[in-house]
Amino acid sequence: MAALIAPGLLEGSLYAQQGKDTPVIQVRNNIILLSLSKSTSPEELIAFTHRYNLKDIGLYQLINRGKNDSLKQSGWETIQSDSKYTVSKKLTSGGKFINPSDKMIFYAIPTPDNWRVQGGNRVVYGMNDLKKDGGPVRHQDFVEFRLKGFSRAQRVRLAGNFSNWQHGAFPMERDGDDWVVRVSLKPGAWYYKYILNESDWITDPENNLEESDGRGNINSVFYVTNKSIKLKGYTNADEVFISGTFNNWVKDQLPMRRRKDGWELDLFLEPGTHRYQYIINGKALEFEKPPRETAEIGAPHIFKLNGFKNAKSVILTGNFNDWNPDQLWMKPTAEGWELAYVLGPGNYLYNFIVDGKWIADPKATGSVNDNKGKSPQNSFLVVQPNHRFTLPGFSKAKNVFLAGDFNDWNPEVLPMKKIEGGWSAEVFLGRGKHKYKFIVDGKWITDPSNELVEDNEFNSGNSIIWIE
Amino acid sequence: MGLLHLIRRVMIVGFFVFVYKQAGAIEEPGERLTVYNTNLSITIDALKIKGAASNANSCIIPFTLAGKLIVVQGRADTVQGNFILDTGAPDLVLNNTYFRNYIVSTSNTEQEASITGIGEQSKRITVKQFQLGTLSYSKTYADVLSLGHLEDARGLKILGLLGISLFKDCELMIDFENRQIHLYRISKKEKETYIHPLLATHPRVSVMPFELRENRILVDTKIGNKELQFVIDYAAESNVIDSRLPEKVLDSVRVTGRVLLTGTGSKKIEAATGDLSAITIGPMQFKKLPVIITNLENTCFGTLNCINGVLGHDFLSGYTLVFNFVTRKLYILY
Repeated sequence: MAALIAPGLLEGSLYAQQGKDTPVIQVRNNIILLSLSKSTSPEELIAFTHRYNLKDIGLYQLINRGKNDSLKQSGWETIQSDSKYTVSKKLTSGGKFINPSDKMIFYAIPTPDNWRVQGGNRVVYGMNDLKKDGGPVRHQDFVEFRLKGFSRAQRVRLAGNFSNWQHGAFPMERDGDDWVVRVSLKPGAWYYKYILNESDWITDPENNLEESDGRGNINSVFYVTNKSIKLKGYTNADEVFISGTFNNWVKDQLPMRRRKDGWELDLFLEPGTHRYQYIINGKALEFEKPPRETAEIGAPHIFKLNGFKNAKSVILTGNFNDWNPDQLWMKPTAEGWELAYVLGPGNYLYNFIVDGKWIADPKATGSVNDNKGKSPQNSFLVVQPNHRFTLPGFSKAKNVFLAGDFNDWNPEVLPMKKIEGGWSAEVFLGRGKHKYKFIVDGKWITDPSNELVEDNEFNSGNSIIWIE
Repeated sequence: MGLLHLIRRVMIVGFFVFVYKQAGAIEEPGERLTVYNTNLSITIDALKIKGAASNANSCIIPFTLAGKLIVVQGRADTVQGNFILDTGAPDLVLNNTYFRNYIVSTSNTEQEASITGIGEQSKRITVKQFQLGTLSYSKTYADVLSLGHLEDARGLKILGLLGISLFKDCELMIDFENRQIHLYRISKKEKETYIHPLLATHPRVSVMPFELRENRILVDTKIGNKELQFVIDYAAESNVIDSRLPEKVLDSVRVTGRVLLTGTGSKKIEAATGDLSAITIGPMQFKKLPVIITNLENTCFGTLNCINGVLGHDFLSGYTLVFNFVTRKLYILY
């Protein structure tokens, strides 16, 4: 292994300051340097790797087993003396920023603040965090917003994404020293602020939940919930949390509130089927069957597979349940097999598993079944489509497919229907930018009726559309 | 007191040398030391200077933020929408998604290989009229490039970037507190005398020269007694310092973690984050500046020296800065 630094460079000042066994991180001569004592305790190592974002580079293997394979694989070099390891990596340049946008992306550290921007304004779940006896209160048909402590204001209005902000802001009425207004709101995430005397915008002092809109404004957030989760018993537990598909099974994020006879949590969940479990004093509560609880928000889609009457089992699997092959067991009917499953608006891919063999849905128009023993095509399903793509002309084409970011650019799952004067297909598009192309008899083309074309890596361009 | 006389007096104040005295423990990132003006005998009278009027040479443009990027409304010929203020870009840049049907006057056909081998082809076009607030630009050159990745990263439709050449005969003030950009086109007549009204009324203004090199704003800084040049770049979300700088400089940086940045071609590049314990920018001193420590090898422009670092949003958003591109003076209001 190449010597990296002059011996003793780290021994002097830093060790003197931080103590012999404390791991050290620094940058010198374009090299990122880590210095760890061989006797670093597991706790100290965990704390160090968490604090400095070094969890995934292979330091555990080095300290616990003396192996540097993982480190080597990710480009880190190791040298060792009797008592310590020095792990280092040369820093490389981010590239020539010929296009200024490359520089902008490079100099931006991803922060949780801009997750909503990246997620295209989709709210999967949410729970409220209000101060005691404060903040908006949900009633049967409306939400009451109450602002306390501004009795001297001349005028107060409530502005939010439900009022097109200031343009349709609701005037509030005096109620003693408070200001009050009632607004009818559907389940979902609602962002709001109070406008005092037409000039000062303030967040709700009684609401702990605030969020950046990605445009430099901080707003209060109130969730009108649509799922109340209750767990009876376990009153001796210190804490109970919910974790589920909606929060990537993070265990310590959604605490339940203690009730007399058990625990409770009100959540907003986006339409679809969600699975979750209870975490009691840090441990998941085991169920016999089903292994986890399910929350269904919205109307079910009926999946049907006709025939296969002699099959022992038919299972539905798709990107909506992470392609789990052992979860959604279909039920036999007079015609074949059936399962009702709740899906929110979106574009989905799925298959059936008949006695262990994966097949495409014969009724889905986009499926291509091959009998060569290869894995089958996925079937494509659009729930609550909100956009229709049309391709005028091409009357002599045999087949036309639509592919884009909404179906992972799969060129064979979304056939367009022949209509008068052209071709047409419907999909669901979330807010933001979408890229797409048509495939006419196997040839990829941009949309001739859309002049917005973005460069792509094949130098052929993609058509783009913005959904506001 | 006559207006002209007053302005001259204020300019004199602006050029006075400031002395700095260290305040107590300052923990906030980018917090500055207390500044004392040695010439306290000069006081500024209550002023009645008219605010910058909106006309063909002067305007106030509100801005929003996309992440930490400054977004203003502009119009290039018939297309109107979001533009990002990019003081790190030399010229006006237009997104080729929305500006495809222009005649290319010159084309940089040389496919410059970047780290991943993906080249970038830039085309130069002429925009008949570019409108920014009430300021009009006729027959302006623009580089046409793909900004699709930036749109994807920010979830925002972006028509283009506002580079330095648009402001070359202007005074540009960026006021984060009120989310406003003030633009004033300085005529030849007032080249020597013009100064933003706010600079006359604001109680704490520091002034320093800046250099324009290949249309980048460079200021002199000092870290650990070493003189360095930093680029002022409103389109850089973080402050940046070169990891290849001498030990003497990097001694002033306490590493706070490892970070993976997205290089060209979506390649992840290893870098570090840190806190710069002290930096002198012109006559001002700042403590505890958050920085990215990365290899700036490929940021050298032309045949000239490389830059040593970047002052980005994390520093700039704390102050109002006024750039006089005619006199090449930078005023920091704090």
